[in-house]
Formats: sequence, structure tokens, C-alpha cells
Amino acid sequence: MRITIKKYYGLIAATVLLLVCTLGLVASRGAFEPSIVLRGYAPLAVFLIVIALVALIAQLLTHTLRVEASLASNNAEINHILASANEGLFLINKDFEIGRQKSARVKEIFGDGVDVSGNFFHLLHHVSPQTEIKLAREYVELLMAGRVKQQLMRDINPMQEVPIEVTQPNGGTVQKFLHIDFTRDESEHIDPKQPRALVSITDITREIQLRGELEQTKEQQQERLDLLLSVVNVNADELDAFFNETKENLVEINSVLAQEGAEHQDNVEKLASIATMVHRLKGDASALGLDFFESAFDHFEESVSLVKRNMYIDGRDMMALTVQLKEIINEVEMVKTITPQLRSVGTSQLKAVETEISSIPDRLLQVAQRAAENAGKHVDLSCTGFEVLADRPELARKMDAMAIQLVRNAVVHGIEAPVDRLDQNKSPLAMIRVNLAKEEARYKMSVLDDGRGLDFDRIRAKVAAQLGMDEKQAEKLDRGKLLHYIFQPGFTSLDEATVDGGRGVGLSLVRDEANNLGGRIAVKSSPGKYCQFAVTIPLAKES
Amino acid sequence: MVVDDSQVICRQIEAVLSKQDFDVVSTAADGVLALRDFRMLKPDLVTMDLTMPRLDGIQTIKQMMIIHPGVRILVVSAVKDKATALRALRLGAYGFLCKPFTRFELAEAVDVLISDLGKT
Repeated sequence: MRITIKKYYGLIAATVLLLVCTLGLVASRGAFEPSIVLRGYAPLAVFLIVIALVALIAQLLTHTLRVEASLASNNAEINHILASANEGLFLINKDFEIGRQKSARVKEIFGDGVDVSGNFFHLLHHVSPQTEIKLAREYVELLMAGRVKQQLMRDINPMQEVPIEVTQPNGGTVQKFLHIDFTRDESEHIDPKQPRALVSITDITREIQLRGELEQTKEQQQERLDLLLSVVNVNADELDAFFNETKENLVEINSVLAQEGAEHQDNVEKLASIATMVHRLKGDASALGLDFFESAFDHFEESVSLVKRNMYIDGRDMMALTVQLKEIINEVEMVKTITPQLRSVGTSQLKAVETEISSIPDRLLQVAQRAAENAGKHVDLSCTGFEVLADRPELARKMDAMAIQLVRNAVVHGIEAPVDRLDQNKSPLAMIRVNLAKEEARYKMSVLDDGRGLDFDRIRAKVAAQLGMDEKQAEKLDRGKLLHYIFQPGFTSLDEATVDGGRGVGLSLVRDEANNLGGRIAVKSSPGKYCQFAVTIPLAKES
Repeated sequence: MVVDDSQVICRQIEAVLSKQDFDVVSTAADGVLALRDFRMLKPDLVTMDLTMPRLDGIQTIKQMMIIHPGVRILVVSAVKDKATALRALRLGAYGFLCKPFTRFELAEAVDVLISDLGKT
């Protein structure tokens, strides 16, 4: 608060005037003999000056007291605000130094062990190492610079959900989420070269938790609903076949898991055969559009591959898998039991979709697009020629299953992310062509994608890592050998598994199936241009 | 001037701006078309999408700031990538509006954008 001198102008002017008069009188004393009248006024003037001075001092004193009282009351108000505000509040200057005044919540939010002072971004980095400090800093700098409208920046504030670890008094830590907002001080007296911003921090942990719970509930409900709808949509015979095969396979897996007294090496082999069975079931579920089972098998597959990574696999690991498998068996049983009821209700509203040969192209496109969506890629698929199998429904089903594996393989491994495709002057929309043709003595199915082609360096590195080779040995692996490895169970060039690929089962399944049918699989590829898998099956078999 | 590769969004923005007494002098579906018109028309206000074919929003903003630094650009985009949005603002855009938006939000954003100018 500034003291205004204006209201004392009158008093000061009167005092100065009297002073000047008196000084004039005193100075002129020697020059001429003042009249008695004037001489008589001198003490009066002095008296008036004293009175005016006293009045001035009194006025100034009262004013100071009033200002102090007002300051004290303002401070009390500010303190009250700081003590009772629900947000953590403080100011930062252009160097991001935290101001002295802070609301009481600041301490509560960051915990006792954290000293909230100094540079704001050092503090932020200290409590939340995973936050991208550079981005956060750029945001605040831009806000402080004042050109951009701060109301039109809030949406891109990178600190809307900052995770922090808070140490509790008992020594444990708890995770919290903060929303940190910034408001540039736009008051008139602020020097534009010395901008500052109010930082307000809200603890949004509860909101985040609630949101998570809500999403989870929604997802579970959606999964159930999808399951029921998908079951009604699948052709009755195919569904029964799926349930029966699944049941058989699951029982088999269960019996493998239940064998007692197995050593580590036995368990490793068991797990490999289980992984193959589960992968096949997942492929079947995916082909029928039974997402619920697809993701259940995927979780199970994930658990199997986690156990496989253990240094030593013992009975307890196998037991955990058995428990998970029991749950899936129960789900299958449950759905199998209610399906006839559902169907009787459903047929009146929902026409069961016939999964005939004519529906194969659409289904493959769906498989491709679902896998692409999961991987953040864009893909179109054309499929021709399956009608040549019109008289061979059993073979058509098997070819379809192989095509599904190859299409997923193409999306996950072959096709690049849209940005990478743009960089190579390719359309972000990738293309997969599936074609089936009847040649002289064989059927030939080809799955061609316009993706990155086979990356032999990457395959070589993976093979070397999986076989424990050093660099020199790895260099000796020629392309023929490497191609042999990509069809081996357990080989994958991906670092991380997803629902669509990365566990190294897909290609080995296709090769096995082709071999079972007396056929073979071949691959052609050009780096950066395309990759084509061709499955050839002799006409003679089965007919 | 409205720059967006979605015709639906272009029409929405145009409708709101017209109601606020702006003349929409051009709508462009990508950065290349936008720059062609921008050179000729030198508009006061531009709404700019970030992901567009041929020339993206970032590159377009860069060019526009060279051609006519006085332009007020409002970035209208979905916030998938905050770093890119922030970059657009650092390059010279005045504000950011998140897609999808309501008519009211857009009108308000435009008001804020020109709050310190005489409305043209």
C-alpha cells in the first residue's frame, strides 16, 4: 500500500508559507526597522508554524497507523486464504523460483519430507521423475512470455495428471496424482520483463481412481455383452465345433499341467506344446469373432510365456497356470450351457451370420483391421479366390485359419507405423492382398503385404540372442538358415508380445498345418517394399 | 481463413465465424492449398488443423509467420500429442482449441484470440 501525500498538500503548503514569511521577517530585520505591528506578529507566526507542524506530524502518524492496520488486516486475510485454500498455491517468477508465501495444502500434498522452495522444475523432477520436464518447462515459458492467450493454452498443459510418490510418516510411500495449473499474473504493475505466475496444485488422486474403476466396470460389462452378442452371431454348427474342440484342448492342456513330479526340462517341453495349443485356440476364437475368448486365451498365453522365462520351472508355476485354465474352462462351460437359450431368444432379433466361404474376405478384413487398430496402424485388405474351395469346406476352413495367422503376422510384423510409411513416401494405408488360386495340381494361397519386408539383420540378431551365439557365428547364418528359423515355434522378432503377435507361434502353426495337408510354405520379400507368404497344398490329398 | 482436411469441421468453423461477423475468405484442406491462398489474401485470423496431408499444420504455421507475421492463428486439433501442439504455439500461434469442440467453445476461443484487437 502506497502513502499518498496529496491529502497533506494543504497543510504542507500552509507550513511552508508561514516558514517563508518568518524567515523573510528575520532576514529583513537589519535592513529596516519593522513597524511595531509587524514585530508583534512574529511570535504569532512562530506559534502558528509549530501548530501546523504538530498537526502535520499528527496527520502522518494517524495515516501510518491506519496503513499498518489495513496491512495487518490484509495479511490476516491472505493468511486465512493460504491456510484454508483447497489447492496448493504459490507464485513462481521468470526463473521459476518458488515464492515465499505458500498455502497450507502445499505441505500436505508433497508430504513433510519435501522442501517446497527453489526452482519449481527441480522440485517437479524430484517428486515426479517420469514427467517430461522439458515439455512442462516449455509450456510455462510460453505462458510467461505473454503472447499466447493463456485461456487458450490450458488444454495442452502437460501437467494435468502428474504422478508423484509421497513418503508417508510411517516410511511407506503412496502414489498421488496432481493437476498443476498456471496463471500468468496480468496485473498492471507487473513489469513485463519480470513476469510471474500463480501455481495452483490440486490433488486429483481420487478422481483418477474413480475413473479407473468406472472404466474397468464398463469394460467388463462390455466384454460380457460382446461375448453374448458374438455367440448369437456365430453359426450354430461352427460354435458347437469350437466349444467341443476348445473343451477337448483345454482338458488336454489341463492333463499335461497336472502330470506330477516333472523336472524343469519336462516342464519346458510341456509349456511349448501348451503354447501351441492355446495359440491355435486363440486363432479359432478370433476367426469366429469371439473376442472374449480371444483375449482370455491371450492372457493365458501371456502367463505361459511368463512362466517359460523362469530360470527354473517347478510344480507351483504349473499349478498357477492350472488355476487360470480352470477359470477359462468354467467360462466355456457357462457360455456353452446358455447358448441354446440365448439363441432361441436371439434368433427373433438377430439373424445368425452364416460363416460361408463368401464371408471369408470380410472376416479377414475384420481380423486385419482389429490387429491394425491394436497396433495403431492403418490397413486395407483384398481377398480373392476362396470360391475355388466351394466343394472343399473342410479345406476352406483350414485355409481360412492359416490366412488369419498370416494376415495377423503381416499387420504386426510386416506393416510399418503410418508415420514411418509417410517417411518412405508410402501411403499411410497399408495394403494386404490374400489370393487363393487352383493351379494344375495344387491350391496356392498367397498373402502379400506392402510393408517393410523381412529384416534379416533383425532376424539374425534375434536368432543369435535366442541361441546364445556371438557376432561371428551369427554372421555365418545365411538367409536360407534364417528363413528356417522364422518358422520355428518360439521365434519372434518383436520385443514385446501383444494380443496379435510377438510370441513366435503364428508362423510355426501355419507351417505345421501346411505340412499336415501335404503342402509347404514359402516366403519372398524385398526390403522396404513387400513380403509374400505362399502356402501350396496338393489337390490330391483329402479328395 | 479456415484450414482443415475435414470438410465437416471446415463448415462448422465457417458457420460460427460468419455468425461473429467475420468474412471467411478461404477454406483449405491442406497446408499447400492454405499457403497459396494465404499469400494472396493475407487474412487476419486463421484456424489451423495440425494433421493434414501434403503439408502439416506445423510447417504451414512456420511459412505463414514468415509471409505475414501479424496473423492470429488458432490451432484447432485433437490433443493426442501435446508436444506438437506446444510447438505450434511456440512457432507463433496464439491459442489452441481442442477437437471436438462446441460452437460456443469456438466462439469463445475466437473472442479471446482477438480480445486485444479492434474487431475487423
